[in-house]
Amino acid sequence: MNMRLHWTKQTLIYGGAAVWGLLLISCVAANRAVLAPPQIAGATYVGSKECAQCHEEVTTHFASASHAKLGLKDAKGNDSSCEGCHGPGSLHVNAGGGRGTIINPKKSPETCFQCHLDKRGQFQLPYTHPVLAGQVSCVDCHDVHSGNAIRGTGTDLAAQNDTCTKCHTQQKGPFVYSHDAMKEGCVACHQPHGSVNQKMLVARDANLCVRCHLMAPATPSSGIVNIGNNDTAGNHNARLQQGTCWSAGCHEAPHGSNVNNHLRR
Amino acid sequence: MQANAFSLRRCAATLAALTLVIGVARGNDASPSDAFPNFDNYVKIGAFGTDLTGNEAAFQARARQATGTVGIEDMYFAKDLDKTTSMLIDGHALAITGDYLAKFLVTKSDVGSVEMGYKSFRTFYDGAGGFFPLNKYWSTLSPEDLHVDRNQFWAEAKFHLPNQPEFIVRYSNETRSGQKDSTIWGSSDFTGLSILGAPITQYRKMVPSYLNLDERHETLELSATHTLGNTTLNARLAWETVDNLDTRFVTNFPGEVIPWAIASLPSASQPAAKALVSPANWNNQAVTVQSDGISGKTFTAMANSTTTFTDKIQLLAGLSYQDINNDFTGDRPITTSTPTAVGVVAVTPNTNQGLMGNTSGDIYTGFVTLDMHNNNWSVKLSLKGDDTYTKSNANLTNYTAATNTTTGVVTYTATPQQEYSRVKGTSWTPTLDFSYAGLSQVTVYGSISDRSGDFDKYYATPFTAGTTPSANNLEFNDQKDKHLNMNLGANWRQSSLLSLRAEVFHKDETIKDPGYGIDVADFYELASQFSGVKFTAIVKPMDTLTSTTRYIYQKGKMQVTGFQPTFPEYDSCDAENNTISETIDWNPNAQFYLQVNANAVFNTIKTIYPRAGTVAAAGSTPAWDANQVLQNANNNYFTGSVLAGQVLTKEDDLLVKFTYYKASNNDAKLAPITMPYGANAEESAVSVGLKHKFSATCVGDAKVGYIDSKSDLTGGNTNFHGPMGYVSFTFAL
Repeated sequence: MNMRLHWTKQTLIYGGAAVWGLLLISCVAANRAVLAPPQIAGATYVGSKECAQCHEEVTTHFASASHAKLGLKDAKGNDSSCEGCHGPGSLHVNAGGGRGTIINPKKSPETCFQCHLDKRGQFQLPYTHPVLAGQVSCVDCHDVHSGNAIRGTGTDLAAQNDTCTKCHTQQKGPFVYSHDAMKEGCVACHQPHGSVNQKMLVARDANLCVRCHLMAPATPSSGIVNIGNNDTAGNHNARLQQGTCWSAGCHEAPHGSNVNNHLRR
Repeated sequence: MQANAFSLRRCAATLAALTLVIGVARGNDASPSDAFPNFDNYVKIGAFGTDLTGNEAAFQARARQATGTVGIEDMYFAKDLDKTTSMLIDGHALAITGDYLAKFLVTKSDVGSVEMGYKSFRTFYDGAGGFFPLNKYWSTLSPEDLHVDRNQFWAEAKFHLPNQPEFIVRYSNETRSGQKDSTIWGSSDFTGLSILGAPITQYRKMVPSYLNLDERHETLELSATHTLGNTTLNARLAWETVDNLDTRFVTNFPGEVIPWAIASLPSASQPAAKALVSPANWNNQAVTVQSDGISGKTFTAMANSTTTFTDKIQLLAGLSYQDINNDFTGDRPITTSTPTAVGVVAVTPNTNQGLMGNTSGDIYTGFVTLDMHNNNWSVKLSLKGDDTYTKSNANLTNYTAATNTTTGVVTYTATPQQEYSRVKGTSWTPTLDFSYAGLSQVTVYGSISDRSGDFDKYYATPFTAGTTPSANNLEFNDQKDKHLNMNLGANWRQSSLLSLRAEVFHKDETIKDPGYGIDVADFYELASQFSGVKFTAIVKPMDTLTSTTRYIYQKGKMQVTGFQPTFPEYDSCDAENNTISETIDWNPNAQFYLQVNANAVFNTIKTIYPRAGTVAAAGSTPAWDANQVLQNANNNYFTGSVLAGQVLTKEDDLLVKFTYYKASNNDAKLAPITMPYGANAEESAVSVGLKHKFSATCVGDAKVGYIDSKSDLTGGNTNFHGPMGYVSFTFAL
């Protein structure tokens, strides 16, 4: 007896319908909901005033937060700023608090990804902070409950770069010879949410530096890339072949140098 | 036959519709009887393993975990010790992958809390030093498997008696240790690169190196918060110490020069290059050990206040002082050798050694903010000021060596040198923030800040100790900078079906370094202007379907003007970014969900190319357009993911996940002339998981998956693929 399975269009249609039907029938047998994260099955919105009952120390300062500007409201027009990130709070309120009934964005970036979709994509890239791995949280770098979400901007007493140098202490300085790019912030060269380039750099090669460090050519048609000096000494055509400006043993102290004003070591 | 088929389809459709309706009805059940248990206290034990083909170190770097691990994936235990005291234990411990957390917290109502914890995680590196297509040369470290561990221990005590100030004392000790990969210039022709037509190591090329990190950061903080009348005061004192010693190692081996035929040369030209294989023409072995150390102390005192005059007006003010004092060290000994008549002689060529110095800084920062608001609008006016004074000085020894090729005697000349710098300046930042929610379903907001700084910079590059630095060693600069940031946005919640958000932003910055001296490199004006828009649309055509779309556009330019001698303004950068993101959430019934995410990014940075001239330069210098080493730096990529969950039975949930990443930024023009850095990779991973309820106190989770990662940038040397498996059990405690 020779049985062969013939895949036809009808096999796929009826087979697919049967599998789908079986799955749905199996679902009917279970009284349980599954939801894509971050959601809370069975919870409804209660409004931010309810949150303030127990979390006044947080809600008191929220008006100053960047996210407060959005003025999030629920269907009834009530302020829903808290639940915009923490999910609908009815189960949490009814239970008198506790885990499992409310979303804690510190534990998972999914809450932030709901609006910051682009950041989900960036954290999937090869060079990024380990947020998806759960080792770094969005709130390690961003203040979401008060003040500017991007630390160090506006009137924050701390500097913007402190967000980075609290962990990357070797790059904090001050150095004997500083790099003015640090005044623009670490993000002038690094994309902290993730990059296709090593070290989370915004550009892959010498383009990163040449964005700023370019001298007008002595002779515009010469084709020579002058960096540093506008003469023979500034001709970097060969240097640019030898690798990036920073990894190639030349200007390898881009955050600041204690030896050389051209950021060498 | 057709009637039967139609009947079957109709039955299937009816069945599907019926079950969808039932599913939706079940989804609205506030207390589903078959819900998985939500454990208050639990321990989750898990194991992960792979059976990979290819570069396992690359997998570890990409996945941020070891190829196999086992341990406590999560643990949470909270208990009331008495009516007013509770304790909490939170943690995980995953061996091999080096991921640990142990947190212990005791809280007593109306008294305070005590917390202690330890956290550690590992970052993996693959030792890749680059791939050079010309010779198909894979430059890599041995071993490739490197990692750096970050560890943190902390202890915190909080005291807060009713109606009394709140005091917090916190100590933390963070360390960072291990090895990470890097690259550096070295004498190597394995790369096959013929730089400016010179096939041998006339110009140094890239070789792999690694950094050994040994860093420690300790912090002791005291803070107090108290409310007096309508004013809340907060004060913080912090003492920090940093003790870092990072060391770079690189070895160039004899024979790294021209062991290969030069692919770029025709065969008739090869003998000259091959002749260089003669040992007399070998490069010498060179070992470079470069260390950078910092031993520093920072003291910070900070205070701020919030005074509420009425429910509509607040005044905020703050002041901070930071005293930084860092001692630094550095060495760059290079040990190489040279053939002489009496044999190979070790030589230490021109290096800087024995760097010892100090940097110190005093930084004052203050701000005042007037915050006015009512139900519909808010206006915040702020002014921030910074005053910075940093100074540095250091000594080092510059070594040069000369070798007598007859006697082999090496003569060293050691020149003690010194250097110093000073930067002093102030900056001011006025800021206006506002929002208005008086329009129906619309909130409008905006912000504008304009930071301007004026700094006096003065430094002396290394000069012979005990002498007066020459003009060539000195630089004075009166630096002025301006940074304007603006944004204007609106959030329109049209109905539960549609929300639209849009924000436009603009940045305009200028740094003027007019200084005086002989080196044009340090004196220039840099300007940049970037503008863009962020747009978000949340569409919910039905309760079970949500579409969220986000589009970000940014375009900007930068210009450089040389000051000395004066050169015209020249465009140095032209950048454009388009990011399109989409998330679709579909819950056709309570027992099924589907979430689809996609991101497409088109990002280009243009610098000198292709604006450089097109005419070949005179003499031996090749024309820029023949060089073409700088192509546009594209950072394009696509990422996507699909997540689906399905209730199977009363005890089982099915979870399917698929992720995808692709980047195609490589440029074939770069391969013959430099390392082609543009990401060119494709990666996909799929997993199917089953979550099973064994009992009311035990839930299991099992997944099988497959990952496939390819990178043309590394010539396939970091490719890997293979199955993955995962299992975990969560027990109620």
